[in-house]
Amino acid sequence: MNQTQASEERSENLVAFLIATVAVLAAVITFLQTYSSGKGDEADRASTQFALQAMQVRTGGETRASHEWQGAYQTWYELDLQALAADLAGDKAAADRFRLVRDRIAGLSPILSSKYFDPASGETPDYYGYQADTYIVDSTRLSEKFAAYNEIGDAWDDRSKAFIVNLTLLAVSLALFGLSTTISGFMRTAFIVLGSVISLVVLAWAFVVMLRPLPALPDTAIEAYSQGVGLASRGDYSAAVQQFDAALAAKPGYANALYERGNSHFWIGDYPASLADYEAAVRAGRTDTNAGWNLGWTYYLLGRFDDAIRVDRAVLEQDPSLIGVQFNLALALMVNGQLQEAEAEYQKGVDQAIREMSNAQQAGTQPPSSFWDYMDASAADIDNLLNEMSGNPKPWGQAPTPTTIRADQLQLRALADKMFYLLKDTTVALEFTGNAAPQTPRGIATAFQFGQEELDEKGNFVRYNTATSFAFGLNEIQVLFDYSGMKKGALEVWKVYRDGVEDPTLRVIGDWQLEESGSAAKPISYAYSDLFVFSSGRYTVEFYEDSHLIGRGIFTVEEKK
Amino acid sequence: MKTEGFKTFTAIMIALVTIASALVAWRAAVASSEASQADFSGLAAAINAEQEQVLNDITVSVHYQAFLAYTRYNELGYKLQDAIDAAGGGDTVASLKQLKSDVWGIAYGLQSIFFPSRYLRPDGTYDSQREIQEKTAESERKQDTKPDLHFSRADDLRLKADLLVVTLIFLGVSFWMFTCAQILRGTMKYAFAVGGMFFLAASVMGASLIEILM
Repeated sequence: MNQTQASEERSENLVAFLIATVAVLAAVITFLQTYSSGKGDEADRASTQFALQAMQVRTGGETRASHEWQGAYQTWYELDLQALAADLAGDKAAADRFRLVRDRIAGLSPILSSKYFDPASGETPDYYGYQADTYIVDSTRLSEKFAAYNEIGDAWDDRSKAFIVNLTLLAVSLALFGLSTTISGFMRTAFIVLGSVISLVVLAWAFVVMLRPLPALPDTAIEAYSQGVGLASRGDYSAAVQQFDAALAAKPGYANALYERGNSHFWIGDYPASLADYEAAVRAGRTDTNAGWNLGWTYYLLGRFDDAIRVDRAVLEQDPSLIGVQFNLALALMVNGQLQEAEAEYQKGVDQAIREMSNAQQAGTQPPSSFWDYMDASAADIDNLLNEMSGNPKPWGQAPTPTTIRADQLQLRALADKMFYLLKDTTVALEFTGNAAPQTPRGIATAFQFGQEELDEKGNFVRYNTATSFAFGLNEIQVLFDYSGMKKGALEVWKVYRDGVEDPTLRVIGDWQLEESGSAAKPISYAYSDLFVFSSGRYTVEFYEDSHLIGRGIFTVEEKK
Repeated sequence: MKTEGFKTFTAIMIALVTIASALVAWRAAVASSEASQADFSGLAAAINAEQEQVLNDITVSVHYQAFLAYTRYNELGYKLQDAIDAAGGGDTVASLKQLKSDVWGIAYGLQSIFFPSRYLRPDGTYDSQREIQEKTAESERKQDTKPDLHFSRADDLRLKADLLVVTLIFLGVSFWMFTCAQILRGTMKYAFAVGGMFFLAASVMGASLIEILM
């Protein structure tokens, strides 16, 4: 055997050894790939199971809660009103009979038990509390498990994919080793070295993949989080914060817990804590538009307008259809002193709202129910801002403190007023006509006065007793104003807000039947029945003619003594 | 020497075909895996969609039931008003007025608590269709309720995986031709080498197009 033959034999032996080694490595990685793929399937199966269970719990719970509300509470409420009516008519015996039946109904339904309902309070049962106990905690727990297992399944799938790549690379190195036996010289050495390097890389890669930890969400964290969501849904935000704290102690960086704790802090009124949580939630992976939306709004309330603008723009890049965020952006630009940009963004939002309505009409559908809430809220936000700037903030309003506002206040007020009317007109036009507000001249109404009719002993009208504040017990009020520039037959809409929230039962919709100009007294009334009076609060009355807001006034009903 | 050079060339080409095959097999496996993931996401979206539809149906049905109760009292009030108008006066009218006040009061109470007045039409009917459409649009905005998008993506990815596997067949043919070229002697080996190169080039181009277009 000469030296060349010996070298050839050594080389072939080495290749044989390498092929055998790589074959063992491939077998191990094949096992790992199969194992990972199986684990991924298992996690996906569990995830699907939890999703179905969450659906069952939620739909079943909602059905039960709805039937309790509709079947039991509505019956109770009707009997209660009948008892009240009998009382008012002086028929005490009938009132007692109604109350006996009413109380019998109360004993038949959990939502009418003392845990959720105090009839003496005059409030409705704690529906959210009942929902929380019936299904919200359970369905949240199952939904979180669904998400957690989905994430675990994805992680196993990623491992499986990495092992597939590893196997592919091992096939390449095997091919290189095999080919090296058919050639000689430098090329043989190159093939052997390349195959070996690839195999070593695969070995190291497979180790890293196996050692990388899988995502894990402890049951204790899920449990505390679910309890927190239940508490928050019934409005017990302080207790909810404690539960979210516990969830975060069990799983630091738990994005959903951070986000929900941010929401609870927000409703408590602790905006700085809320902001910190929203920021942490976004860092932890809550990059959805809801988190960005709330983050942007909190920046605005805390006077960090540049940040608010940046976040709102980012959210709109993700989903340009969010008109609520579009109007938040415009508002932030306005208080930041970027008045021209603000006006352009408001106009863009209005155009988008008109387009959305038109698209929905063409498709034979409707825009989302929240569309109207956001349209209303956009004008309400301007109103709240102006109230805050006037040193007259309302408990229900949210606005930054005036010292943080960078715009010239006179210019800001002028633009805010203009945008307020634009938004109000557009909302009414879209809701009642489905189109943009018409480019017709706006009618004129003088400032509203509010009064009660004074009648003589024969029931004849004497005069209106006007005031801005009325004692509790009022069941009808007259809105008094002079007007001009009206069009007979034009759409006439009256809207009434109590403490910043519209009471749609007091809406009046019709056609303008009076003359082009004159004086009017418009009743807002519960007088068709003895059972109701105006609740105490601050009432804002708005009058629209031909979809233009032409009159707006405020009166107060005092607390019951 | 010339034969050695050709052998080295075919060996390199076989190595290239192997690498190309490995890459194509990897992309096919990844596409297949992503198709499974898209199927799973589609399933989750289908569950969401069904859940939201059931919940919206429940809500609207409950509102509609409340509206029917409201209508019962409201219409009764109108009939009582007709009776008052017809009666002219006396004790009967007083009791009818009392009854009318009661039933309209109850109707208002139901309207204020048990269903949204926004969907009351001016003709006194209830626009359940509008309410359900608004709720459906709301659900679509809030969460993923469109399984078809995921399923269609899954179908595309499966088609991509299938086409990549088809290119593997061409790479197999190329591999076979280069192997023949290495074994054979004479001019035939060149013909096989050219054939192998043709199939390799076609496969690489095909796989690249599939990757770019799908």
